[in-house]
Amino acid sequence: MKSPKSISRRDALKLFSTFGASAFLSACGASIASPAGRKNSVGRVVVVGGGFGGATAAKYLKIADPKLEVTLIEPQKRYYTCPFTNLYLGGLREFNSLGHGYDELRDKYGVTVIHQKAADVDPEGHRLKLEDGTEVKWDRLILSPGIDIRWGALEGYDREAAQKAPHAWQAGPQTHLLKEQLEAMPENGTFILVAPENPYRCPPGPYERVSMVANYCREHKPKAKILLLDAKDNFSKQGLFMQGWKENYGDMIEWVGLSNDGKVIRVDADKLEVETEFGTIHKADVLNVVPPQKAGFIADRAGVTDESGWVPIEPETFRSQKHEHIYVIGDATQAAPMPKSGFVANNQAKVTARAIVADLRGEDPMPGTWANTCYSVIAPDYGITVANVFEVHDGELREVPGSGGVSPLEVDPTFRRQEARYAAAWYAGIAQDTWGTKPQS
Amino acid sequence: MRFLIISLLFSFSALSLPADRQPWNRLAESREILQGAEVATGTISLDLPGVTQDGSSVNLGVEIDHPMKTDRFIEKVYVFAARNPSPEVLDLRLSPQLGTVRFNTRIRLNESQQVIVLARNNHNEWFGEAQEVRVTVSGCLSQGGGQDSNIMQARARGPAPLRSGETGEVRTLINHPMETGLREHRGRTIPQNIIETMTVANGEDILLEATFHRSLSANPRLFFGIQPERSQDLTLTWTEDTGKTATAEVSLQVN
Repeated sequence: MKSPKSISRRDALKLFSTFGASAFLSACGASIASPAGRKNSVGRVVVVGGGFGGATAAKYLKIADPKLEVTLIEPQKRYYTCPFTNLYLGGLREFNSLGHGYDELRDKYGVTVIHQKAADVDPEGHRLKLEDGTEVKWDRLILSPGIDIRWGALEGYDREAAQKAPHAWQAGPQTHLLKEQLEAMPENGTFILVAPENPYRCPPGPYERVSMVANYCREHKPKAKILLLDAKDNFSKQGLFMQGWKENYGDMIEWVGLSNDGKVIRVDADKLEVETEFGTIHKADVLNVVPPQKAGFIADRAGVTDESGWVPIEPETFRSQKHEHIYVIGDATQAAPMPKSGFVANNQAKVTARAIVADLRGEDPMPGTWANTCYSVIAPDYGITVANVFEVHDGELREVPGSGGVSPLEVDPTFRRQEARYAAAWYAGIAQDTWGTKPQS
Repeated sequence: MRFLIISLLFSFSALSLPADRQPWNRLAESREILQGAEVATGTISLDLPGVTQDGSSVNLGVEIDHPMKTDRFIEKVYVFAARNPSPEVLDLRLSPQLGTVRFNTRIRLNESQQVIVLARNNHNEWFGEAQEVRVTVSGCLSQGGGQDSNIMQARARGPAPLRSGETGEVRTLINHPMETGLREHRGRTIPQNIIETMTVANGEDILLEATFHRSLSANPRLFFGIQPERSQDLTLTWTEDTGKTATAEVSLQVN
């Protein structure tokens, strides 16, 4: 079988006229009717997942070609973002301010929004099955399913354990549970966060998490101790975090990396205990386990994941390497060196939306450029950031040499204060771009 | 379909390639060790990530499906990273008393490349396997090298009590920067300073002797499988290139 990727537009036209299909070409020759051959439609695209990736993709598909039929599948009527849940834990944000609806997508852009869980994918039959049994047909499918937890991959950490030792790595009930536990923690209690190996959602997330827990404790439980047990020796914005912890919280946060026996190999959620590789037992009052992860389950159902649990993609378009009509974006993909971040998912969505429109028109995709900007808030007036630009080079994703960087180490407090303000502006900006949420005054 | 074919090709690549194109015959360091010997594939299994975001610490697991009896056993194992400034990563000399060949460590990969593992048994038969690892240095991840406050601190942990014939894992780690001699700091090259060897002994018997090269990650870890016939105490000794040593003890209990 020859992949359409290798068919140029001219070849495609030839192919179609060979089969007498020129009638399908519109007057300007730009669009090819959907395989179903229906008139007036330039194609049906179904998007699964209404987060940073999926909601952005739905919007930008309609911007690129309003004639597309775009359907978004998202179980929640109001979507709560994982980014900034740490600020909620730290007492800097209301949880409600992290919720976003789909009115703009529906009313302004004409996206059909179905609030249901996607249950299964028939890749060959081009159908998506929903939880209530309904089937939705598509010509192109975008999966933006985020992550699922690999239950049991860390000994002792299953769904039941997460009710006692929350992960809070998907916004919602888990976030509230962790917040309640933190508030109920004894004054001199120990908060333990267990951080996983790469790759996982939001590389700086565990480090911002303990920063915000420290911010809460500084005010409410100044004798508390925060221990971060890490399966890695190196982490995102490491120098900046270490400096920020010291400047803001003194010795409250202790980080133990892989080479100092920081890797947790067993969790006992009943006793709130963890065991490390070399047999140290740590006892917590609040135990926050960020467990190993994989692509959201619908990617598995579509058959686009590989043995790593993530989705290999063609870097130019984020088309699945395993199915030519399925595209995958966001945390579920293997897109290293791009991090699994909301900003990257939003960027991938825009490039992929354009690529799908080109694909449906039989055109070659435009070369993509992607950016990432990621703020971490260490204290209310103390923010840090990393930014990068990515491109395809020799068929692989890479950082544009010399692009981006992290906040400088040696700066005065004004710089950190400004970055904390930029972080809030970043959130307002991306929420408006993705869901149309108006910034709060 | 195209993808299926590609992945099949990859999994059998070493097997189906003509000898002169096999990865170990294209690297001077491994050619020198092999001295033209034939290398069989399909005996060694590698556990390596396809893509890694941190080339300073890449997980490598090796398992060799071969008897470990006094008359027939794997005697030497070599690990190479073909495109590192110095391709040698790790050599192991094994005793049949280990009962099994299974180990896990962390290696440095300077760029995307093939990791090669070769093994020789006591009848001078060679086995090999190689796997490609793509290294993407992410600006999201720093390239530091652990902490240096506790250099030469050694750790070791044995398995829970075993039944006779059961395989357990011994975990070892020493805190050490493994300075490559290639790194510069303030215009000055930091001289090479590495842990050179680690031995595992039961009294006079040496069960395992590992030679560490500078392509092994900082804070060298070596986790290895053992199938002890009876309870025994193991002494582990690490030696730095300055001659300085560190030791640790592990008790194996066999019920």
